[in-house]
Amino acid sequence: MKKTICIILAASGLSLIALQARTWTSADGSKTFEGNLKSYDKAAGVVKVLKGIREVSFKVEMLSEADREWLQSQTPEAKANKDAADMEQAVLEELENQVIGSKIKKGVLSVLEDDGFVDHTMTYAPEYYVVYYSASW
Amino acid sequence: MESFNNKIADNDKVEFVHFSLDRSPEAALAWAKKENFPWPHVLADKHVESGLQKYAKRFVPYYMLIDKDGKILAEGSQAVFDKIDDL
Repeated sequence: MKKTICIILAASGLSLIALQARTWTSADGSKTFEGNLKSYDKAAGVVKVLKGIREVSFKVEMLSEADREWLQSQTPEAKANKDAADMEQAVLEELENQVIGSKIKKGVLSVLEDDGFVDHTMTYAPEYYVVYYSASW
Repeated sequence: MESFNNKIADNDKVEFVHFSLDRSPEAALAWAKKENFPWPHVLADKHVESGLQKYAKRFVPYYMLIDKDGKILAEGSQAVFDKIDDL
């Protein structure tokens, strides 16, 4: 059943964000309407919204500040940034449950970058650690 | 470095951590730059905070394989890299 719905969505050209119903508000706050976001062309500043089966298209400037902020959060870049932040948080939580990882996850390790050491935050939660005790002398 | 590249660099189950016993950060940096070390380091000012100091021996170099719960699985270069094959 899920597969059928996905095929229908793909065939209709709708992305999953098109399923997000929202109450939209005009820039001056005087009007609202219900609709599902179909697409947002950030470069052109054009929003397409489905009101029932009808598609309406308008400039993003016609929307309230809150709507514009929400649209910004729906861009691929914003979603990618959020996914990355969520991933980092999940790794840190996993490391927090380790005896070793909880100590070194952040603010303890350094890596060589260009001409100096910079702080290193663990990007994954390994099961094992090889610790190499050594010195230049 | 060869063992690191072959067994750890692309191994998500294992992280390699260099516990630098150089007291001077300049010396640690010079050595890391000279050898172009790709792994993370625990520098002298973070020894205690890292929790890894308690495993250190009185001599270097020394390798140790520890699991995420702090249990020692292998000690010494040969034993450590052999053990990684079994993980």
